[in-house]
Amino acid sequence: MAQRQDQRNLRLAASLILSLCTGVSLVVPAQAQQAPDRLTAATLKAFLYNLGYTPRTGARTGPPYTITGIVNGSPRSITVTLSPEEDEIIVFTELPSVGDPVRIPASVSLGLLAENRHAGPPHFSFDPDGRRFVLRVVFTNGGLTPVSFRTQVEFFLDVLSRTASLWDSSKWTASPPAGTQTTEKPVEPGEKVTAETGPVRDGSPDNYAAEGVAVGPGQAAKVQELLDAGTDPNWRGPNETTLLMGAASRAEPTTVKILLAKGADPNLQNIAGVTALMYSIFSTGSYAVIEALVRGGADVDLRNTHGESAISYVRMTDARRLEILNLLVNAAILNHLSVAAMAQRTLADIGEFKKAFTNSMVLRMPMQIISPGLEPTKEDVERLKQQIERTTKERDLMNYQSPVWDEIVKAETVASQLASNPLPERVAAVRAALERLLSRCTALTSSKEWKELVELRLGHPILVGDAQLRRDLRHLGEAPR
Amino acid sequence: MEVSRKAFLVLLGAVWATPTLAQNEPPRGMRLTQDTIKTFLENLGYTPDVPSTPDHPYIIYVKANAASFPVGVTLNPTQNVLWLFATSPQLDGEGLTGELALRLLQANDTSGPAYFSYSREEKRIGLWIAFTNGGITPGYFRTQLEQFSRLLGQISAIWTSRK
Repeated sequence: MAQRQDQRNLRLAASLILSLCTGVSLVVPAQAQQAPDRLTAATLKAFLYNLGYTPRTGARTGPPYTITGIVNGSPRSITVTLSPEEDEIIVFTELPSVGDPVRIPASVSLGLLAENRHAGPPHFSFDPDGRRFVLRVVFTNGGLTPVSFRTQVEFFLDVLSRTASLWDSSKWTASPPAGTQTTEKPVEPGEKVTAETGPVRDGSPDNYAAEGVAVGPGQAAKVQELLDAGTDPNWRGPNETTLLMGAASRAEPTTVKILLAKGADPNLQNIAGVTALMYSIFSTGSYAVIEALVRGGADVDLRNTHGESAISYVRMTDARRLEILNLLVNAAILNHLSVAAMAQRTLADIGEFKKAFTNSMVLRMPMQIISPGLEPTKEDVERLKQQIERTTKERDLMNYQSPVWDEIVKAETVASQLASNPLPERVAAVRAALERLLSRCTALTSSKEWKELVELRLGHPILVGDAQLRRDLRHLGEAPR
Repeated sequence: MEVSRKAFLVLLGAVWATPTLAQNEPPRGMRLTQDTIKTFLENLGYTPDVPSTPDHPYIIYVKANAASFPVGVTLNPTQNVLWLFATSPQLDGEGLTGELALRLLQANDTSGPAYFSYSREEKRIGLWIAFTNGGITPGYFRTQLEQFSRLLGQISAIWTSRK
C-alpha cells in the first residue's frame, strides 16, 4: 500500500515536473531565439562587416571597432563598441578639440543642446578632459536589426554634417554660428514632435521640410499643390538630400509618383552617394515605392561612396526581400541589355563616321599637269603653283586631322568594350570619348585652314558627318555642349 | 517511503527553480507595442497614466529629492525606439545660459544612455533615454530608470527653478 502511495507520489512529482518543464520550454526557446540578437565582441564585428563597413581594430582583436563615414565629403572615424556589461552598443565620434572651454560661445553650447532635442537618439556631449564635443548614440544590445542600425548610422552622419558650424571651432565667428539659426527645424505638418510625445526624428532624410513641402504621411495633396505652384521637385536639403529621398524613405508611393511625374530626378545622390532607391530599400523596404522608382527610371547600378549599389542594400531590408531583389535584378538586366544595344548602335555610328571622315581626308598628290616632252606654258606653271599651294595647305591640314583620327580610334575602342561587356559604369567613358571626338571635329571644322581648304575645293564640300555621334550622345544621356 | 522522499525533493527543487523560470517578465528581446507597454510598466511596479490617444505617452511618476517628476514612456512611430523622457517646466527670462548648457553637455558625457537637451523655443530642458525596442529587459529598464531618477535629482534645482 505504502509502495503504491510512493509510486503515486512519484507519478505526481513527475507530472508536476513535466508540466513545469512544458512551461519552461515556452520560455527557454524564446530566449534561445533571441540570443543571436544580442551582439558580442565577435558578432559585432561580423555584424558591421555584413552591413558593408570595414571595422578596424588596430593592434587589438576585439572592440572598439572603427568604421569610416563621410561627413561633408570628408571621411570621419566612428567608433563602435560594447559597454562593459555588453548590454549596450555605443557608437560615437570624438570631434576636434575646441581648446579652452571658456572660449566656447554660448550659442554653440545652446545650439548643440538644442540639437539633442531633435537629433535624438544621437546626442552631443562635452568631454572636459579632451576639451571636445562628442556625438554619441547608445543602442540597447538586443533586437537591433541591420536596417535600424544602418539607418541610425546614416542619421548620425547626417547630424554631424549639418552641425559642423557648431562643433568645428574653426568655423566659429564673433557672431553666432550660422548653424544656430537652423538647428531647430520647423515642425512639419503631420509630424508628431511635441512636448508631450517626444522626438520622433530618428531617420534621415524623412524629416526635412523644403520650402514648406512636407513629404510625410498624408501630405501627397499638399506636395502636389506646392509643386503645381512652382516648387522645384529637385529641391535639395542638407547634405544634398532630395524631396524624393524623403518621400521614398517614408514609404509614400503616392508622393513619390507625384514627384516623379513633376520631373524629380530619381538618380540624384546625396553627399554620401545614396539615392532615393537606396533610401526606400533600407528605410522601409516598401515594394510600392521601390517599384515606382524603378519604373520612374531609377538606376539600380548607381553606387554610393562605399561602392554599394541598391542591390547591396537589399540585404538590409526585412520586408519582401526576394521580391525586391527580383525587381532590382530584372531592372538591372534590362538596363544592361539596353546599354548593350546602345553600345552596338554607337559602335556602328562611329564606324560610319570613320568612313565619312576617311573620305574627307584631304591629302592628295599633285596632279600631273605638264605633258612630258612639252615646254610648259605660263598657264601650266600657274596651275602647278596653285596645285602646290593647295597641297601644302592640305598637308598642313593633316596636323588638324590626326588628332580627330586618334579620337575616333579611342572612341571605337571604348564603345567596343562596352558592347562586349555592357557595364553601365562604362557608359560614362564612351560618353567622354564621344565628347572628345566631337570637340576635335568642331576644332577642325572651325579652323581657318579648314575653311580655306573648303574655299579651294569649291564644289567638293568636305563633310565630317558628326550628326550621328551627337545623337548617340543624347542616347547616352547627355547632349554635347 | 524512500521513493516518496525522493519525489518530494525533486518536486521541491522544481518548485524552487520555478520563480526564476516562470516569472512574469518579458523574455530578453521582447518587442513592446503600445499595448504591452502598460503591462510592462505595471510589472515593474508603476501605475501608468493611460494616454487619451495612442499618439500620447504613458506617464509614470519618478521620485527624486522628495519631488515627483512625471516621466513619459512612448514608442516612436516606427516602433523601433522606446522613449523615456521628462521635460522641465518652462524657464523664465532668457531661458538657459550658455554656461549651464555647457554643464549639461558635460553631464551627457557620463550620463549615457540618458542625455539632456534644450528647446530654445519652449525654454524647457529635456532628459531622454532611447531604448532599442526588442532588446529591453525589465532589469535593464529598471537600472536606467534609476539612473534617470538620479539625474533628475541632480539637476532638480535648475529643473524646478523658473529663473
